Amino acid sequence: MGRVVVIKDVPKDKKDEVKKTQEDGGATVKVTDQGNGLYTIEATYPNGDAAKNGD
Amino acid sequence: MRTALRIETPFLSQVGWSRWSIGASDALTSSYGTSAVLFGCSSLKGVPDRLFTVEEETAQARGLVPGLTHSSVPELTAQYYAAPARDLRNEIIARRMYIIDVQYSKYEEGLTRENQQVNFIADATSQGLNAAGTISTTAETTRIAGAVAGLVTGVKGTYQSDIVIAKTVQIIQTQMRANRDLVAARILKRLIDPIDVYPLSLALSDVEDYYRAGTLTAGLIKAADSVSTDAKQAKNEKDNTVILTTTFSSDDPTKALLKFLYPVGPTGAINVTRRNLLNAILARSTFPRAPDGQPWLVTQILYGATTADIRRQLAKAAGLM
Repeated sequence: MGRVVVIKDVPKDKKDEVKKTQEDGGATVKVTDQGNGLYTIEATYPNGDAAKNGD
Repeated sequence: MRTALRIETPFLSQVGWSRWSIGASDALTSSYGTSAVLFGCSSLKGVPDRLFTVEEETAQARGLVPGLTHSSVPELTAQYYAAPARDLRNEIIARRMYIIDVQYSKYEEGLTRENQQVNFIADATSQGLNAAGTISTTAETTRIAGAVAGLVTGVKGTYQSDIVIAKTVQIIQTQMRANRDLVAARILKRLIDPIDVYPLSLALSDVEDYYRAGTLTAGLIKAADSVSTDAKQAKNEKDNTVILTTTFSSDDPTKALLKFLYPVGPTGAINVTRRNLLNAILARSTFPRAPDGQPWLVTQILYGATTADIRRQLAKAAGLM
């Protein structure tokens, strides 16, 4: 079963770190600028098995 | 003062209203009623004309009625039943398909033309009438012009809503073509079969399918099936997605887990063995499940404020805190 995890209000200095960890978990990541120095990270995990073996 | 408004448009002449003459004291008069507009459109029939009537087809199926010789096909059919041969069968089938193609081309052309004309002419007429009402110096003319404009627009609306294909006719035509191609391919493949495997009666049945594939009904069914399939797929994707929305939060368990996952630093490669180990811990029955009933994955609970308790429990279970 697929999952989407949305993390709001990510500070600019943490944006790349969060993005990388989600990608390392097997997710496809979309970053959206909220316009106030904060970002929203949307991580889409294809399914449970793929996410567990995202490498 | 009597105000006259005369309307002559190509649209009206085509549908039977060659001329409307309206006076302030006159009722709207026309040679034909609105039904003439609607029933003059071949798309309302839904199907192209048949090569033979159903009765004629039945007669042929019974082995040819003497005197039914307005086409060469019955003669060929008679020859076939006198001396069955694959070439003769194929010639009959090919000829029938050809005539259906001709009829279909005419039908499709009519569909396209009607759709374009109804859209363009009704719009143009309505706009013209509304403009005439605007520049008129008498309130009465304005009122009548507005009323007629509304009627013309209404005719268009009725036409389109009744046949359901104003803007989708091209999609349906595409489906009809696809249907015909599929059946044609099936028939052509079988033309190499001997007559004892693929007799003329069976081939004619396929030709009937070929005819029906080019009908509006078949096109609508196919289009509806496609939409239904897309809708089901979209619903499945929606049902299969668990959305967790949370606010960013980074605490001591986050730092401990990150240090464990990224031994050479956060910009380095993740340690896959350690990641899998943490995921295995999260899969234990003592840990909460995600909304879909399955275990969380470590990367999914690293930052969320709503998952703070889970990652604290994880960090402790892994001996990181």
